[in-house]
Amino acid sequence: MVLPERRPVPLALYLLLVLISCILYVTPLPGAGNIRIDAVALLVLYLNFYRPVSWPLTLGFCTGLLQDLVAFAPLGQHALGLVLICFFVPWMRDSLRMLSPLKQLPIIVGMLLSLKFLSSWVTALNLGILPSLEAFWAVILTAIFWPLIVGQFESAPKIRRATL
Amino acid sequence: MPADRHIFREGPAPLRGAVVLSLLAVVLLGVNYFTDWLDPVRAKALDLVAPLYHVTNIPERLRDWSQENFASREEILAENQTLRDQNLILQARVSTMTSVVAENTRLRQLLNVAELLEARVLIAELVGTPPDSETHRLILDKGQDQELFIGQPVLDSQGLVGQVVSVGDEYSEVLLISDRGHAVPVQNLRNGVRAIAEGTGDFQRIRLRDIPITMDVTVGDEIVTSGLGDRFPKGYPVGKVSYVSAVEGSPFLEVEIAPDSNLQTTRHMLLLFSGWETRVFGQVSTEEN
Repeated sequence: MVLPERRPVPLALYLLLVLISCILYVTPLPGAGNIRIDAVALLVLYLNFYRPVSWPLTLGFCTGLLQDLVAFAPLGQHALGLVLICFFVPWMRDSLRMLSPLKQLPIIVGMLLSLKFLSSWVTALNLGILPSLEAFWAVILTAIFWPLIVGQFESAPKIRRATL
Repeated sequence: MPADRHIFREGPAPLRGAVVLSLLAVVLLGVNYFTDWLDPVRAKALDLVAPLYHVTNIPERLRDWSQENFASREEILAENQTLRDQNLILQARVSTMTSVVAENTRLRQLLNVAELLEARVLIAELVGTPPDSETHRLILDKGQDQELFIGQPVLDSQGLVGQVVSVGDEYSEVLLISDRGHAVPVQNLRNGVRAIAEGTGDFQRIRLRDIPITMDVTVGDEIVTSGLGDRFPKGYPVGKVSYVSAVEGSPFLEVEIAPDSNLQTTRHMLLLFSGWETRVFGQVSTEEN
């Protein structure tokens, strides 16, 4: 079953959301050391699940490059991960959107872990260091926000209507 | 609005686009790894994205501002008294240091050793820390405009913090001594034993590498920079030995030190200018603080 097309989000709004998510991404959490919420990955995942775009790969790539610049990471590190996310999410989008946000959570954790794995792999090649446990705490912390975001912007009645 | 002008639409993305963009990302990573062509881009990006980090500091600055402006008279008087006491103690220490410095100078003359250069410093403030749990880096609010250079040592009031690794016009990026990619030549202040201190990825621990099992190292020894390699000047505190253990079957000791500097909490840092950079980068004129 193919779900109906959603209301488009203007490009300006997309850029604003990316900027806000970048600020959230670099904001330190009190007492959490270097653990940060990957708000950019959450935004890209959310848009790909619920607001599919015309140029998902290009926008994902550019967003990833911006994230690389913001995080002072090697250029391409996050861009590669977000391109792959933008490519694979549409294949499972329709079936996943029928699930409740909590039931989507394991898949979101899996995707964020894959992103982190890819990112750690690049870091390992670049600097010769393996990922620390902090990296995986960051994934769990980020994933916790998924049901909150989806619950806030995609209320249950809308989802039920969409699945009819 | 016609449908083709919408930027959002359903349907999977084409495989060809994914392959092309993934390859582009891999090429960028390769260029970054094998060449330094992207370093100027990173330096420029430093100036562009550092203001984002300023935004994240707004709550903390508001809290500091409110503490400064709404502190009671009693609190200000108490703080003033504490500062007076500290000033008295420091003045007493400086007066004893004068005689030590004079004695040191005489001994150096006797030994015909060149005088240590007077270090000039510039105070910089922390702007933020990049959101990467694998690396320990800081962004400072000073850059090329203040004559900063790559490799410049960074200290806080307690000891060595790290070194500058990227310089933008107004901001710079610092690699901390606790980063797993950082190493610094050090020596034991008690007996002069030299070693390499490398980061472990833990802010509280730095490892001393390749210390032979016969070497005299004990918990509590003060470790300072050795000055070898011309990157860090000699004699700046790095940390104290916190753990020594002999590993069965290994010819080396396992030695860890606790950094003297407050790597996670310090907000103001000293950028060290000395004589060695003038040999490489020409005459450096810095503002002294």
